[in-house]
Amino acid sequence: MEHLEAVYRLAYHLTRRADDAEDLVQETYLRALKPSAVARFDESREDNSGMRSWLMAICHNAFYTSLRKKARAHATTDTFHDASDTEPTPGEGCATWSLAGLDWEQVDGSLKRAIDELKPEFRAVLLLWGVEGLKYREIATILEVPIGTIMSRLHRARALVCEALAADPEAQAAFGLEPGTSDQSPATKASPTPE
Amino acid sequence: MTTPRDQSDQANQPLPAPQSEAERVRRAADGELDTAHGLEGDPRVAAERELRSAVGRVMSDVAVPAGLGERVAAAIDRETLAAQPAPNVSDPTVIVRSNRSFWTTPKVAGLVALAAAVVLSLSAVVLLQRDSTAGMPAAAVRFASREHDRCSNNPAYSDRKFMVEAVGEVPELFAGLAGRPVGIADLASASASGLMFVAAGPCAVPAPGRPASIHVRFALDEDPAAQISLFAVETEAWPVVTGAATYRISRDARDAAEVTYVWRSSGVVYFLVADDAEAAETAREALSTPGDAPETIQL
Repeated sequence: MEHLEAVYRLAYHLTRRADDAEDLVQETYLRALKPSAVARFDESREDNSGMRSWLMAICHNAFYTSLRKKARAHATTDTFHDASDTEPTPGEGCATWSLAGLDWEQVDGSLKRAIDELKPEFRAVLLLWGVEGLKYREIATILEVPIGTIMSRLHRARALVCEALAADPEAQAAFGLEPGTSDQSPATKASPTPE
Repeated sequence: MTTPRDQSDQANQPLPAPQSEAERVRRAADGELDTAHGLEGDPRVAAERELRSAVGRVMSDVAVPAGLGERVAAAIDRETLAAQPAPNVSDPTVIVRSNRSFWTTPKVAGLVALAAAVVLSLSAVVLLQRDSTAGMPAAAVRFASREHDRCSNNPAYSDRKFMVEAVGEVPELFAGLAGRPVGIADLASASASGLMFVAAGPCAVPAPGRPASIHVRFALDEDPAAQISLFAVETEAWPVVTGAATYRISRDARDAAEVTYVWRSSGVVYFLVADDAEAAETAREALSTPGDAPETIQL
């Protein structure tokens, strides 16, 4: 099955439940056979985004369609497209910068928990960026949002992950940070950066 | 929400210049800067890349469940079947969806056929390769087990799948899928021998040539909560499954209590799945499967 692994990964990180992810994957491939989706694939081929991106876009769409149906209101998707999505990319330095050269593998568990705590829209961006290695443009195409939103969302996702790591005792211990000392937490330890 | 056309337009435009040093660092790390002058070897860029790598490692640790590909292929088969006319079924609504005309317009049908061919051919190759090595319908057994579980645990899915609610209509359903009458087991008699017919519907048991197959659900007269599945596949494949015996499949199953029987009769291979041995035995006897005692086969 073409790109099943990538589609399942996205479905899993959107739903966070294996059985829901399986349903979503099935829905994705069924939708992919529908004429409107096929027509869109023809368009996507024009800009070389390919079958994987096409399937992932369908998966993402199907997930939010399902959320809308479940909510019977637009609360969830309104949250998804809230005003913060359109604000300029934050200019502050990232907490990550203080962690250069550290052994990230030591904090895999903490990092996974931090990512799991994120909203699905942040997880989706992180996945497409971190795992699939996509460019901002490709992510924007898949998630059907402006590229500025992708950049903003990616920055926020990274910042939230770093803040969560800073508050996680396991990560503090692994990174040699003193618990409860905010000045030494990854979230605040980064040097101010001239804008 | 932007449209595909918006996205296409957007894709042709250059990224705006970074609005801050922080953004410049992030974009340099992500390879999204035309020139990263002055940032070569910058520890901030290195840190961003380390984070990206760590996120990638953690988030990629997700394994595709075994059989998901087969399940999706089966769903596509069902959808394809539902979009086809069924000349031999007396009630066309049994397997023909209301949007059939939309799917069968020449242009759409061509596009759908193209996409379906890509997906189905890939999955079929995988399934057939697996079966050819085992000599037994291993993929079909796995599929039957998972489909049984899915229908047991997902009422909404079952509702969509099982369209036939009268045991007398099952032969018509099977014949409609095969395109000719098929000698299916006497389910009406079985229903009078301790089995309680629940519903039936088209299925897509993985088999060479993608033959007609159906899924029939039963309960027990004495235990209406019992979940029993019978999959019937019209095929000459799997000659190891002879018409002289019933095979009890033993496998390293996730559910040790689940029992699967396989047998062949009149050109149809059957897979019987039940949640426990007693229910399986009751169903096997009611269906008069061949042979005196089941032969156990390890898959």
